[in-house]
Amino acid sequence: MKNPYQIVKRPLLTEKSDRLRETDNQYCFEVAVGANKLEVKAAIESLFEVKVSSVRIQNRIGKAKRMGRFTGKRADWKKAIVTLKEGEVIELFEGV
Amino acid sequence: MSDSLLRVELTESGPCERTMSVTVQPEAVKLEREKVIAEIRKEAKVKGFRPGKAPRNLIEKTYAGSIREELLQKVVSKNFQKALEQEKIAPLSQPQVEKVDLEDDYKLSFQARFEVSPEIELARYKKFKIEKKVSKVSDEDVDSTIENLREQYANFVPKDGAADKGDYLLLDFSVLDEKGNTSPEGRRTNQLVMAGHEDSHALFSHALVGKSEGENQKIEIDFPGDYPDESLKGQRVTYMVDIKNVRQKSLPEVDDHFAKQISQTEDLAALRTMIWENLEREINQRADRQVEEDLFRQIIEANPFDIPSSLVEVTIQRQIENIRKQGQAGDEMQMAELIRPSAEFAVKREYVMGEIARREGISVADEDINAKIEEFATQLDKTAEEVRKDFRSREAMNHLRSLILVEKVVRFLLENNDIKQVEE
Repeated sequence: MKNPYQIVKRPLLTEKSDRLRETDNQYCFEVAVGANKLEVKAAIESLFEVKVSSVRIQNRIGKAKRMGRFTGKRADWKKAIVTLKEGEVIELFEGV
Repeated sequence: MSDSLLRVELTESGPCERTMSVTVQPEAVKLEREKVIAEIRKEAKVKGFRPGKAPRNLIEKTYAGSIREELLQKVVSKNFQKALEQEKIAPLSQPQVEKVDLEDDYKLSFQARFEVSPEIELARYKKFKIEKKVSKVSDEDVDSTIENLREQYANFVPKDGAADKGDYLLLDFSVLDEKGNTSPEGRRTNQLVMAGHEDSHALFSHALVGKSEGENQKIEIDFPGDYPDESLKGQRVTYMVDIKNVRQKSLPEVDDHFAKQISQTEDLAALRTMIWENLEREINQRADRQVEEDLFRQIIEANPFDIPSSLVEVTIQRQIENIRKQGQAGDEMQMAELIRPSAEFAVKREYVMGEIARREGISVADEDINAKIEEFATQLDKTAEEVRKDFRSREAMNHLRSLILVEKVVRFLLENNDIKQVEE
């Protein structure tokens, strides 16, 4: 198995993720672009010692940014919305 | 929050100093903390959230430092005020807050140190014996005043011939170097110098005695070895001096014409009377001030009390500022030490005055103010209304009030103490 730390990059803490967590017990993460749902599931389960019921994945296209006359582009990234089994909690988000 | 939530311990930590230990109940702190968090939350910008939308626990974590700071500041100042009301004391100085202690977010205690007005027991402030020393005006005093006036109204008339000591010379001069050449830097034009004047250029001005108009000659001066100016000490300097004219001071004759010229009096006799009266008034005023000061000095000596140092410092600072405004510079520390005794006296006097006013029920009524305004009006040749306008502001009015109060207290003291006029 791949190193879970290389798959899960960072937790996403936003108004939207906060809402999802409260209503649907879903947690959002930025994950490696190459990762698939199964890999994310395994990584989350081992990192936080929780049971994952499902993973949904979005490919986010990086925003186009300009620096004067040069256009550039932020890197594309992958977002995973992880639904936990009922009663499971990721402490990391709770304390925050 | 009710007063019962405060536990206050008051100790005398100095003659005019109190230390107050306050313990605030956790409930009060908790309440305040919620307010602080809510306040911060409204403005807080956290990435991923619109301003004001970030969750509370996130705020609490990211802003822990500023929450604590704000909380301490608010709780301490609020409860300090509350404690003052509870204990019914009024601090004179900004409190020194120390030992602020916040445990487990809710247990808060602090200590505040501040100065308070002293308790004054005026055991005795009447029946002191004061001598009012008044000196007689003599004919010589009037003469010397007139002599001063003559000096002030002196004319400078051109004079032929040699300058005597005390005459003024208008001249150009330049300093010659070893080869006898002048240099532009050493040249001064149109200088007015008094011949034989005893100032820092005494050597030069003495050398001018006996010179006359149109003379153009060298003056050699040997500066002595102990001459204060380093660059000239022990040097022989040659000056080229070009005297443009000599003027003699001419004092006006003391006669009726002089009297008319300098004053609104008719003749010399009237001028003398006026000067006589002015001198007498001056002496009397000075004596009155002296009596007042002696009186307060005696009262203060008879009723010792401590004064808060912060008030003394404020007084000192104010006086230093005044001195600075008059354009005098000096070492701040030195000045402060010089002023200190008089500042302490002023503060004590202020307290004594206040206490006497309180005890004797002396206060400033509206009639007093009106009377004072009328008085100013006649003095300044204005209408009462105009004067009243000058005292529109609250500050000016308070100033006027305290002025009148001081006058009334002084009058009371003069009536109740033994003032004996002594002629010197």
